Amino acid sequence: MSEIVIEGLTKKIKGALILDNVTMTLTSGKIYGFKGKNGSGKTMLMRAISGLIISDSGKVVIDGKELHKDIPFPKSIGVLIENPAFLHQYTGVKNLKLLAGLTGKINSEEIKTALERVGLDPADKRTYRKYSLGMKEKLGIANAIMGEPDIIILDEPINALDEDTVHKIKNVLLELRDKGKLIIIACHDREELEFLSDVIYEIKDGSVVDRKDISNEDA
Amino acid sequence: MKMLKYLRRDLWLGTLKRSYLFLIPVVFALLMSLQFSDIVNSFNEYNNSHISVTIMDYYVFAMKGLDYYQIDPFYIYPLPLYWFTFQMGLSYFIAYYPERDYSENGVNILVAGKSRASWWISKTVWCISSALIYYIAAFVSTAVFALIQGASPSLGVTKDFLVAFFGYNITYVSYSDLIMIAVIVPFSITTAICLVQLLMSFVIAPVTSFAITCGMYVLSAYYTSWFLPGSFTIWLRSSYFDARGLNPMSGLVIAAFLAVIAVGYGVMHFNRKDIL
Repeated sequence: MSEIVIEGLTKKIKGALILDNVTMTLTSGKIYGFKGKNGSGKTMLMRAISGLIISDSGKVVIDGKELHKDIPFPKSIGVLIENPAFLHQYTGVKNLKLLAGLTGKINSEEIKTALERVGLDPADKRTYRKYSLGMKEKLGIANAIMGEPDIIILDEPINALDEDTVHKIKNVLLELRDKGKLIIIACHDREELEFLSDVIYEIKDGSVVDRKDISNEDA
Repeated sequence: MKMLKYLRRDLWLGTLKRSYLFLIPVVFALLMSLQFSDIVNSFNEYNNSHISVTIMDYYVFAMKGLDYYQIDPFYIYPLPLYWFTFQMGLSYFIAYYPERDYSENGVNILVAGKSRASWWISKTVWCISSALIYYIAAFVSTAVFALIQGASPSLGVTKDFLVAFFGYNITYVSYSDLIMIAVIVPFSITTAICLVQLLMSFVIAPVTSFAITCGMYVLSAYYTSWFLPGSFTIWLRSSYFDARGLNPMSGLVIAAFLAVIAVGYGVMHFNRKDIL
């Protein structure tokens, strides 16, 4: 079970206000959609939740522990933020193994499962540099979901994917949500976002301007 | 433990996968050994003698650096090419890998490893171990080339020959002092310079920090001073050998100071750095 409480989160970068007093509470077993124009602050908010940026004021509290005070990063998290970045000279499996080696909690079987779930062949001998854009995106998603972390953050995960893969990824995310994972996703495709999300936050100029509870609407 | 996981990755990607760069100290050792071998042969021929030198004589010669620059229109100062290439080879080795690892894979690595400080400490340990391997490569290569050219496999030095080549001053330098100024101080100061360069590659940029290090070494060749720490890598300019020289102990203090500052400031810098 995870709970993320964000209180008055504000961040400036080189004088520009990137996040402006963001407050929200996110709980496990739900998919949260972030929508907004390019540069609205969605990615920065995801970075802040991931522990990658340090806020000027406000706080992010995960399961009662404040980021950068009690913990440097969320304990169990998988992220895909902007472009997936991997080592070009290695295969997808090797890349994930290197990263799993850092977590120390994910075994080879879990890596294989993650790759298969997103439609990549674990036996593929091609190196990352020979991957298509879609394959790179899939590997980024596989990295985020491998070992099924409690929090999964995906920034524009389906942009470069074909229809079949999008369908597959959607099913994986819904499955993970049903297992009690807290998923945050940013997406430009309104229909897909509304289909997947339980709650949608609209972000504009670094502030949350709207919150829409989709699950209640459906009910 | 987190640091060890990062370090294992750094040694694999930053050292083993780029081990071809250790050819620099190997080539340096070969060229210096050939030079020294010629000198020994000429000496024996001229004196009709047969002085047998050791592998340590070869290494001491390779690490001598270069004499003081003199402002004199009739004095032609040789371009310190070998010494410069040796020092810059290590700086180049350190220059790009850490920053690329951060900028290209930083998000995945830091989120997976969950510690900024461990990541930085790992990079500093990687930097120190790279410098150590670089110097060991130079020593082992020098020893191998020396043995091929008939040197005795001894870590002692041949004082008679060193006096003939370096002058009478060398008689005042004990063996332990010679090891200090030709082995320990150059390694320590080079490693400290690399740590500062590593830090600068994140605070400024890799190419700029590499250029600054190059500039510092060039200035060190032409001007001997404690504030140009490259001067300490040249044992001919040590106070143990030449009264005008730099005290090697102050070199060790400067090396320790630079290393502590680089590691400490790096931890603080990374704990507050946004990973964008």
